[in-house]
Amino acid sequence: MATTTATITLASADLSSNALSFSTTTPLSKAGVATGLTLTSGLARTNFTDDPIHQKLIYRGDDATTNGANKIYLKNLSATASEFFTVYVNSEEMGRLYSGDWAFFPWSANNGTKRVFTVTIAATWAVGDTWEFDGVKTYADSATVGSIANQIHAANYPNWVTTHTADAATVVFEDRVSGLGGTTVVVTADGTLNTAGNGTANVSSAAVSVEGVGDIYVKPSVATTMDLEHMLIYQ
Amino acid sequence: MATTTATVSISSTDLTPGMPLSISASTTLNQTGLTTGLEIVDMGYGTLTVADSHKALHEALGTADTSNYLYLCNDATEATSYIEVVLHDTVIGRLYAGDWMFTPWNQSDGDAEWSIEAEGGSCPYAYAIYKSSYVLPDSTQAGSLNP
Repeated sequence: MATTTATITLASADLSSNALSFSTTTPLSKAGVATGLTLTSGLARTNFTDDPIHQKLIYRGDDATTNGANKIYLKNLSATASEFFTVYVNSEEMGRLYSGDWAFFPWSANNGTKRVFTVTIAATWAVGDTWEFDGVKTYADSATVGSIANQIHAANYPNWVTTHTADAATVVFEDRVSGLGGTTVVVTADGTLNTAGNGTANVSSAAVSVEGVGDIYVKPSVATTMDLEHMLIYQ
Repeated sequence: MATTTATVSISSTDLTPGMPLSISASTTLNQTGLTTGLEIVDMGYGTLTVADSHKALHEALGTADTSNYLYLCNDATEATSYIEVVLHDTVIGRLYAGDWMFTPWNQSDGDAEWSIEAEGGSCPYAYAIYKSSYVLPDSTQAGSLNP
């Protein structure tokens, strides 16, 4: 267990006729318990130099436990008073971080869901037959469907992870991140099959994706260089 | 012009192994894009009960695209009591007992409204809103009082 504390002090000598100052300190604990948060993205700096201006994804809902006691720290490192970052949670605009401003807030990390489908290797395959998906081509080194499924599972796909029972004919694919696949069902035609016989690699889809609503985006106000300091502390 | 500073300190000796964490940041709460300070603050204290539905923390009726800041703290002492914090219709996060937040706020209309709801137990809360503008509402007695 780690012990992390966060303190805020808000102070003014002249906002009202009496000096105003208050300070709050909290240990950053896991949801509903007194044990400290143990995970962090580390303190990072992201540069924005984009013309035309566009927003960047800072943290994805998948990055932390949904409804955990996650915390986000952001700071605009610009020294120009008029330059700001607009902070969004998904499409919801939170506000503007002007030069030197910082924010610290809880984050539910509401992620979306991932597409899932199953490919089944069946019928007659020959050594050298291929199945290509997500830019990865598998060459059958055996005519046995279970062995070919083992090979498909052993490959690394840029956008998918697989689960598979050794020597079974099926391989289950799941998106690496939620929400990116839209609502398109994966179909057999999404893979390219080249077989000397009548081998098949039929796809059956179990789920389409749903966009998450917790992604943190930041958009700079100018196209010239701006830096954002940020950190995620999560469970 | 008023000068209000907001300072945050985040520290840990063991969150990142072998590398103590110590963040300290301070900013002056300025008017939109300027170096002159904000001069309006609303502060308050209340208690949310579990029976309450979501309550709007404050009317989001300021001028759009201006500097405004929200501070909110859950003063509950039971670890399981939290405040669900919602911006418009998006759940931002949960403020557990003792937790606080400080964010910019682009208040303008109902789409920018912050709402809060207690879960797991009653939650005393404190808030402060530093804002760029505020227009006094017309008096309901205006018609009879004006000559």
